[in-house]
Amino acid sequence: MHNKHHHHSSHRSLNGKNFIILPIVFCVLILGIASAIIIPNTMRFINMASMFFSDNPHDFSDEFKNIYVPTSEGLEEDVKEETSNAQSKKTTKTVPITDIEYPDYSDQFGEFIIEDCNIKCPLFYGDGDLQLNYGVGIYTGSFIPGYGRPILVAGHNATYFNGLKYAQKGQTILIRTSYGNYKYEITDIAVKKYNDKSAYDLGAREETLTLYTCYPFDQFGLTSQRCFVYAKYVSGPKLDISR
Amino acid sequence: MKKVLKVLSAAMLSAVVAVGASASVFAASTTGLNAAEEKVLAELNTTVDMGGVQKSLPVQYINQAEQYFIKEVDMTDAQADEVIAKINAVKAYLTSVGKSKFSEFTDAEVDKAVSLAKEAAAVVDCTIEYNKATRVVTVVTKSADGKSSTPVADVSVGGKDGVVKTTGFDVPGVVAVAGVGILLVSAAGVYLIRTSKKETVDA
Repeated sequence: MHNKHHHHSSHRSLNGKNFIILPIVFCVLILGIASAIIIPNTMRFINMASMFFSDNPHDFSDEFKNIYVPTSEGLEEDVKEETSNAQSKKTTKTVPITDIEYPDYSDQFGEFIIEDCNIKCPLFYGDGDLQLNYGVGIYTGSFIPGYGRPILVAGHNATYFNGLKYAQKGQTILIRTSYGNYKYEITDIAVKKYNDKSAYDLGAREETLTLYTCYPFDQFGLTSQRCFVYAKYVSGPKLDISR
Repeated sequence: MKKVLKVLSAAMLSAVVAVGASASVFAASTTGLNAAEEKVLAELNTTVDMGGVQKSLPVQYINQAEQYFIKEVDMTDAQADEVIAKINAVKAYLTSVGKSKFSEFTDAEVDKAVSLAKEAAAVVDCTIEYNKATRVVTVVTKSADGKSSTPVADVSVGGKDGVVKTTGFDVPGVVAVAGVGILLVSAAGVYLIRTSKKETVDA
């Protein structure tokens, strides 16, 4: 009788505890591990899987050239303050563009850092599948740092640009390249539709930095909105493009 | 309409890049921008009259051309003049059609405009290839025997590969990962059922 009662309560425990709570715990654990560890490191697998469902063209190449060699050029000590007639004048070094190795499409040519947002990742020239799997990428219809023209940088919201949710006005963005280090200051943040052409101006004749990623930041699935972060040039060597 | 516009824009730019590529054989890497190249860029920035409406190339294509000139090309004045002549030939044809919208163009008119760009590429032994599946226009140089080709430049004309990319979590990817998760959970469930049955029998 006692044994029968014991078996009955054991089944009830199994149904209530093991069949409901344990699967939930498993799901939470798996999703937690996936979002924290597996997914950022398995984007290639994810893209391969999406091939069977999506009509987007995919870049299956996993090779890229790394031309980035860290330099101290353009760091704080290279931006000198000159004082004349009680006015402070900032002088910025100019680098002939013929002296640098201009990146080819898909080259990793720098490092992108926003310390306040815990972002530190490789910077690529190009914003295709491959580049955004390994870092953030500059759109080739915009320009590279120092050129004096707009820079448009894309990154995935699940990985390298997830930290943009912490972006605030006044924060510093650092872009390090082989030919110099650049500082930008965040001036504005806005959420806009992906096809809102007013979100950027690629024809501007001044150096501006625009970052974007899908919004909301932690939403699974494709979104129609983008979070745009706008920044102004602060320092870094200017490129002389003339000959 | 947008697709046709993009194809024509890309074809036109490709022609420019193709002609520029002919000068790249003797060019050093990162050549800078000379007066001849600036002249071509200025021409690209002008508008074309189509049925009384002024149309222009998307600025991002002109930016790409500028950086291509900076990186690869050391264009002479003669080459620049040739490029500009080809650009003007395309513009003249678009104006002569007299339609303000590309959607109103017949297939024959579209083919004619694209063929003008191809003629420009042919001058410098380059070929323009358009992949309808990937919507990418590629400028290639053929080997001496014509058996192999080397890509010179790609210009995407796909609607989904515009300026702003998809930077979100890909749903199919999530589905794939979730599928693996569900499999693991199912396996754990089966294991638990078997284990509990075995314990019941043993007891």
